[in-house]
Amino acid sequence: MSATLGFGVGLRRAHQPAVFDPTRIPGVDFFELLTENHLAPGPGRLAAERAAAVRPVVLHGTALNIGGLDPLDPDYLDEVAELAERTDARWISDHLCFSGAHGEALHELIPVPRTDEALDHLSRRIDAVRKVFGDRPFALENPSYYIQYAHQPYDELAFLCRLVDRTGVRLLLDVNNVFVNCANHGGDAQAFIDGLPAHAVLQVHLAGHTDLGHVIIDTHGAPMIDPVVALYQRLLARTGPVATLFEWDNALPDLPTLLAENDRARAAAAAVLTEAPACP
Amino acid sequence: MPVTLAEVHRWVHAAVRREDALPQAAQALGVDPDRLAIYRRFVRGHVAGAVRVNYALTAAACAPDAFEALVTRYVDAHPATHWRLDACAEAFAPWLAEVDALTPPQRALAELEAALMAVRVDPSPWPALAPGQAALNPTLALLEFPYPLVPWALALGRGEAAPLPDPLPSLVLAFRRPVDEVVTYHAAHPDWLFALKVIHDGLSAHQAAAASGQPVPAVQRALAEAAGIGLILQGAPAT
Repeated sequence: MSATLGFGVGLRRAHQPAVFDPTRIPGVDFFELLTENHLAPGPGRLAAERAAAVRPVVLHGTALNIGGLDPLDPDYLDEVAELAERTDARWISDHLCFSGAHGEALHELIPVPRTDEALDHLSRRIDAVRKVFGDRPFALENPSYYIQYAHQPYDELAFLCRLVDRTGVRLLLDVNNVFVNCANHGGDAQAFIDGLPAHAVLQVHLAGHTDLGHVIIDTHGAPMIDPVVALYQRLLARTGPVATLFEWDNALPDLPTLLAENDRARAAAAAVLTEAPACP
Repeated sequence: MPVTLAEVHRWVHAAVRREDALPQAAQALGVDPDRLAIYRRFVRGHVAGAVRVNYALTAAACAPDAFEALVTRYVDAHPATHWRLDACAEAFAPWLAEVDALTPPQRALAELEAALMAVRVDPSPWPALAPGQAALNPTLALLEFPYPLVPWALALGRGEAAPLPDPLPSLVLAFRRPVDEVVTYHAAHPDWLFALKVIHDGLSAHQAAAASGQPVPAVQRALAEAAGIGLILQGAPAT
């Protein structure tokens, strides 16, 4: 049995303070905190501390701008490291993207071009980030993307594999994003899962999405669909138990509905794993 | 030739900032312009959303179309520059004054909401107090406005159609409650201002009573009330 945090949910204000009562969160083994919501003093920071007192936490950010050309923000990195220390976060993750350009914060996950230049750039910045985060594991998530730049030498899977090979960065594998990207750009989601460097997967994200007909948007606003569950099970068959989080950010449901989706992820895992996923 | 990082950043940035740059950016990057437009909507939507959330009272005091038109103009003029999303809304109130938008009371209400944002992220640490010690709430902001904003804001918050207030100088006390760190605000009551001065000047209840000519129980009552709503912090009693 590998060490895993089990099954978690995102910490959202609408579910507080109920989620701080262990009796009201059956099946929740850990919380994922949206990093930027908990850095500033005030209720966000207080909530992070309360969550960490109840369950293990992991930090998941959107503002690192690992693929950006603007310098990494040392103040931001220090604040994230401090929050991780204060909450004893098991790991820190962000997205494989750029989220700022020309001094502006885009607050959006824009895909980096899959080129050797980008691999060099990302490798240098991953090194720099890990120097600040120290021994705490650092992972990057495969984001959903809606555009594909022309003339990219690597497809997404080859690019991820090369990045992991070069840097040893861990992966936060968003299975819903694999589905969405393959649907939007014509890829083979099963082959993507089969080709991943399974040893690098530190955490899994599951989520729902919105199909607009001409494009699928990664809205995190619905239950996961069965094909995403099947991809998740296919991944687990390669990785074994992995910390798994169900993301629900838009049209946030009540806590029991969220917990039911968390239970669904647990049941899906149990169906393919010979051992039950570990709980803390 | 593969597209370079610099080109991607330049063209995506241009497409997000200027609608007329979108077709050219899509062509340069070799992407579908409709798909690139998704990012433009998302990026601008984040800033607009931050303004709507943080200026909900101001929005409630305006005609919806008028407020949304202002938000669109503001998003054009003020891209986000900080990783904290709410930070991109901080300049909305001063921008309203700069472009002379809305009425003076509506602008004052926006200034109040901007001040509440500042209180929300005030970095002042909570003091460690010994039993019997007292201190001012370090997040407290004493705000002066030319209109009685608090009753108006409370009515708007309840969804009531409240008329614009007439001019009347008023003081507002805004702070984070020590118990849950939630931002709150009150019209400044004279007793609370008195209590704040007592603590600020480091006076005992007896000294404050002597200095103000009030009976000691009245001073103690004012201090207790101010502590009860979180204006004043008190060290836990010794056990």
